[in-house]
Amino acid sequence: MKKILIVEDDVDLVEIMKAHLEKEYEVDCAYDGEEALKKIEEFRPDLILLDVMLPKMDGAVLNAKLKSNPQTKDIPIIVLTGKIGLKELFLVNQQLTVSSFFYKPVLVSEIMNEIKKLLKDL
Amino acid sequence: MLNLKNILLISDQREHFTKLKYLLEKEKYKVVISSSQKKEIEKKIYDNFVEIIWFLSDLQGEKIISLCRWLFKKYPNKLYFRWIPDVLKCNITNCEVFRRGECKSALLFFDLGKNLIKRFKFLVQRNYSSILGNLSVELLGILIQVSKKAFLPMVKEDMMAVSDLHSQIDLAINYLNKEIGEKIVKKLKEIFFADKVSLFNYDIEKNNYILIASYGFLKDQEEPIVMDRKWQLMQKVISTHKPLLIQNGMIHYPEIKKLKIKPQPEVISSMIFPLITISKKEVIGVLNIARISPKKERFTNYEFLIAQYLVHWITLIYSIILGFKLSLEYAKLKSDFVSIINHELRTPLMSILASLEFISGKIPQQIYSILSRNVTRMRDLIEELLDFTRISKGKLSVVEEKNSISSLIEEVIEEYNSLAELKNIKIIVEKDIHTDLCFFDKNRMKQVLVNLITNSIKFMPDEKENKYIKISVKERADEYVFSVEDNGIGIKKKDLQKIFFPFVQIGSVMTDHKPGLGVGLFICRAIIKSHKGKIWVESEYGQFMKVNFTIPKKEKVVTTQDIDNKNSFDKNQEDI
Repeated sequence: MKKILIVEDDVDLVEIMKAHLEKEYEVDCAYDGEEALKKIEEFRPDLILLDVMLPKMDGAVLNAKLKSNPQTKDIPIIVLTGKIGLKELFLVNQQLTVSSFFYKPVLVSEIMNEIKKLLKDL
Repeated sequence: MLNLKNILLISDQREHFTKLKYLLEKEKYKVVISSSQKKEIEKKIYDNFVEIIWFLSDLQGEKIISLCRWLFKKYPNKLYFRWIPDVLKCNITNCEVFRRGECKSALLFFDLGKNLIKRFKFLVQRNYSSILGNLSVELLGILIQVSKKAFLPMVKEDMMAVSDLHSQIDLAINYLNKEIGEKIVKKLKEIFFADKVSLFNYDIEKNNYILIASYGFLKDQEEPIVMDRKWQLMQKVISTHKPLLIQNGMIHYPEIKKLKIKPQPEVISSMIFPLITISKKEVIGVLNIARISPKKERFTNYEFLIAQYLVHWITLIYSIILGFKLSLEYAKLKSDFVSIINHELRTPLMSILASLEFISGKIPQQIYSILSRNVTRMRDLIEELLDFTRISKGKLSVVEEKNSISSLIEEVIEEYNSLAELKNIKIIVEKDIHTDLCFFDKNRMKQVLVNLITNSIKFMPDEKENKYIKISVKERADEYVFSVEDNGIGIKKKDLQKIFFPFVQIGSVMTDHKPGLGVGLFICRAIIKSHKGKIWVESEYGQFMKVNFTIPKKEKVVTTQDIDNKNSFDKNQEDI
């Protein structure tokens, strides 16, 4: 089973997303940027679901770190955020672009379709 | 009451005018006499703070004319009079100089008596009033300019004012801060022949006064100049609420006393005023006017008086500006607040939506429908709020692609037919087009039609007979004209303009309030404008309501993207 890491600071949202995703994948979660880095190293996810507004280290910085590390730069990232206007943040530098981008609220089924697509390409 | 006191009589036969001097001094004027020699005139004016100058009768025409030309240039702020006691000896040329308006005022007397003094006083007062009147008109002009340039965009008739609110606000505040200040300072420099003028305004953020405009004060710097605690004279003016008149290191007003501190070097004469609001007795600013050049005379009481009068006007202007600035900042805050709410609501809504998806097979269908419908309703409200915020920041973009008009209308009707049937409303479609394909943003145009149709359904009274909503589209040479018409309650003429305002719903807030934020039409208008079309309403209260809009025809795809959206990750997603 493929592995997905959810990085999101809202506890409820993490729980419900996990409930959906566990039907098809192995799921782990991190609630802030620093924890996410640790989990990525230990858990080695195949895909990351990333919120941007995170304590300790926000999603944009985390993304930059992952992209600059040859071990993690190819992990597909789906950004899921409530803050409108963040797309530019991820587009400034071509190397830092993410694979997919959703504004909340979005149907989980749509996210699942996107995950399927991205994991098939791997 | 005007308190001008210092008179200079110019005559080469001063012995003849002792009686005049006596009469004037009896009326508490301070009188000095000078010959027509320029040097003596200059010295006497300087030493005695002369405010009023009389040319006496012995002076010849040409002499007066040449003196006048020199004096008016050097001392234009004085009041000038000409006295001729004997009408028979009156030289026409002399009178002409005055009558032609080369002098500020003229006075022809034929007897030396009480009437002379009375008339003199009257003319001084009238002259002062007219000068003040002229200056007031000039400052009033500035005030009107302020209103027009800074705030007309906010109250323009078509009310796109709320669109692009933030940059309008920034523009207005920048204009207020800089240009008005500079206009006023320039005017003051002219009126008072000043070498230095500086205008400080209270800044809430810095909790101090900052320099907003100046002439000859300090060089242009990056950081705004803040008032220094060490500037004792200005601090004194702020704490005592009284203006200061300083001449050569001595305070002349309020009381004459020596300055305890060294005044700025080189300043021979300066006036410092607090700008105090009438209502709250707050000092919202400080104004400095100074003369440095030793060739210039010092400020007279007369000029000090005029300056005080002008300061009232300037204070009025800045009180109004301050009020506007606060309203503008507040409007911006409110708009930012809407943004924040928008953001905060999304995550909980997502959790609810995701939970709903999870249990979709496990609860009775009816209950699921209720949950699903209302979650969708909340999401739509949030999206409306989001659109509103985008419009306020001037960032609503449309992606215009070739689309079918017929399928647009069909899709909308398919979605809303059942809802209309529930209320017994018939939906009619009329199409009069040759080319079905047109360039427009399908999602956004759908949004417009949906908004109009839901409004029609919402505001349709139950009692009406033969309720209908007619959607029509007509093709013209260079545009398509759409309209959504219903025979609902309609709009009164007086409310026609208001309906495009955000958050407005016509009718009583309590009884007539319909579900929704009241931004639907506001958003429709923004979308139509982004397509470069027009939108307008026809209505007869109680009879019908017809909303019309146009979509111009285009040659090729023109995608209006906002400035920030350079690398469109996904063309259908929009950013703020």
